[in-house]
Amino acid sequence: MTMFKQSASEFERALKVIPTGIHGHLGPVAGCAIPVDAFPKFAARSEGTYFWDLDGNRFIDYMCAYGPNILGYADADVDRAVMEQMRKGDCASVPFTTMIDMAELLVDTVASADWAFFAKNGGDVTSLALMTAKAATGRKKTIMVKGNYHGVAPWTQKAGYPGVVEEDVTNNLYVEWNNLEQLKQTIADNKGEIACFISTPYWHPAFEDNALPAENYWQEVRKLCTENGIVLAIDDVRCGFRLDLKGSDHYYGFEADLICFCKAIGNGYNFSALCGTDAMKDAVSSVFYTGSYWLASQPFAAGIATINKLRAIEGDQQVLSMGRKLTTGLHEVGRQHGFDLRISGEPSMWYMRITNDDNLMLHQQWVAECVKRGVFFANHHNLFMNCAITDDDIQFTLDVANDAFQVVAANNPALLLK
Amino acid sequence: MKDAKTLAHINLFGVLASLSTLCAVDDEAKALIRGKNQSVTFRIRKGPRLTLVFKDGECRALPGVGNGQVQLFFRSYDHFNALMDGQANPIPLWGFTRLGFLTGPFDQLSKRLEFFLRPTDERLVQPDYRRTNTALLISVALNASIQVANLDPELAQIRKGLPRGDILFRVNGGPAQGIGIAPNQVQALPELPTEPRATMTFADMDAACDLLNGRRDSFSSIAAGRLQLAGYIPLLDNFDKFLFKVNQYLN
Repeated sequence: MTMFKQSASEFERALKVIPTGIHGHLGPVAGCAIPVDAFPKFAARSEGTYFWDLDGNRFIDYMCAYGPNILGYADADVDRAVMEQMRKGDCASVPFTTMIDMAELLVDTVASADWAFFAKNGGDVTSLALMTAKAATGRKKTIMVKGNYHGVAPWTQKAGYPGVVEEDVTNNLYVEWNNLEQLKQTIADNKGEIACFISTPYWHPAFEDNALPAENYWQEVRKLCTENGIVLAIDDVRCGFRLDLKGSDHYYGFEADLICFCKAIGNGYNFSALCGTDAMKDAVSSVFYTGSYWLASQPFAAGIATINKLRAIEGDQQVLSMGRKLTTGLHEVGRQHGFDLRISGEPSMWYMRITNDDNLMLHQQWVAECVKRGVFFANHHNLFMNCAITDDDIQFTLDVANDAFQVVAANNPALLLK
Repeated sequence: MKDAKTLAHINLFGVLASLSTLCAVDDEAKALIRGKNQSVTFRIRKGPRLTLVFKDGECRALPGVGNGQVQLFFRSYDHFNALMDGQANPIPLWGFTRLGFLTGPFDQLSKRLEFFLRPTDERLVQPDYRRTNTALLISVALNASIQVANLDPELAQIRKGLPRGDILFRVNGGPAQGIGIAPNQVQALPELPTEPRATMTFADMDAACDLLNGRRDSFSSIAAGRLQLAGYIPLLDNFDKFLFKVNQYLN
């Protein structure tokens, strides 16, 4: 069982100078680390599929830095490419040609991409997708799916959240996932005003079972968008390269007008990309959009190495296959102890929850017991597979899950399935 | 932005109604109403009403009840809010012979409430003061949050998308309160929920006192284990938005 004395001490130090100690989704108060004392706060090092915390505890990291770790932390090929670029330079007054190499590779890899525009975060490119759609159509409204997460810009949040005012979301329209009738009605009610329909390729909110697209859903959406002059933008920030290296639109059999990548694109080196079709090229060119470090060269070197390696090892197939093996095993171990561990979403970035209660408290107890034994899950978020996970790691995880279920079963005998 | 209607509801059902909590936990307040048998209704034109019933050394706050022996009328939400700011007087409609209760014990109770709701460093080191102050702040914060949740125009989008479930707020060794949440409806529960969908638990009264008085923020409280969250977190996450807004109204 792990101890987090050093993590706790450093967190106290952080609280004095950093709002919330660790702000954002990596922090312990974002709702995915319950109870907080069961989770480490800071890493000392990371390698492959593991990270070690300040107290020397090793964790198999199924959060993969919330997505970026696709090949394994400190991947030798990626780091070598970065070091080589570092010797040449990173940030200068004009970009290095690695930027072109990266764009060519994306265009060659992603089925719907005719061009690539670079930024730093997922939120940068989802916001750019909206601006591009508005520039292309001359319209102002956006249809979004309820529960989808597109970043932290005000338009992605709700009016009334701290710092978000009504005008920030005035032009948002919301529909339910997989609800084509509602989508049709929304389009009819706002004829000629909708610039963009933006959505993740499948429904993966936190705290909810994930839902895959219904049969022909995307094909129907594509048709509706085309018929009504609406730009179809796919937020592939979370799913990107974990379903299909050609893009998650390709995986589900349709073609987006715009597609947003981040997380897995550079194995942790920071950049993001908006890709799109030729029809969108003039519009994105017309939008004034830039940032201080957006064209730095080292992340592009990392991205080129990452994508080339993913293509060589068929990384998308690998994470799907290993994810299937792990999630099938976890469900079965839970069943043996009287728990229904429901798995939803795609196996390379699955969501799971124990359904024996409706308040997630059993799930929180079980996850905490897993983390204390060296398997790092977050309570209520997609989990992620990476290409460095081995069969031995999966077996270790199933053994830990078994021990954790045993503890939770002993503490909650009345809630077990008969 | 402060909405006058929401503020009036906060003042009525959050602040004024907390006199019942004051009389339950503070011996001096209890002494002020000992032997009294009076009821006072606060009535806002085209708005809500609240009756405070003082009887047998207790104070009960009855939302929606309008048959008090003394009737105080307010022309508007702004009029009532001005009273709570000490900038206006009510219009007595009924019970002129009982106005002595208002200018005597009731006025003293109000001053006692203000004493506990406006802490100083010196006052907060006294254990009895901390205990009363904390009990009152919990009452005010939760009841005010309910008003904000149901009424604040700027929170309409959050209100509409609220998940369903009961939250149990509790302080180990102290008070507890259940709040029922549903889309467009947030309410105090008459009984504590036996199977809450989410819980927010303060480790002890000191933990609650420090947070409610701004001596420690919620993040460090959670990180230090002095405030524990469990269950369906979106319920708590949404309620946190209401608490945040209460802060804007009352400060």
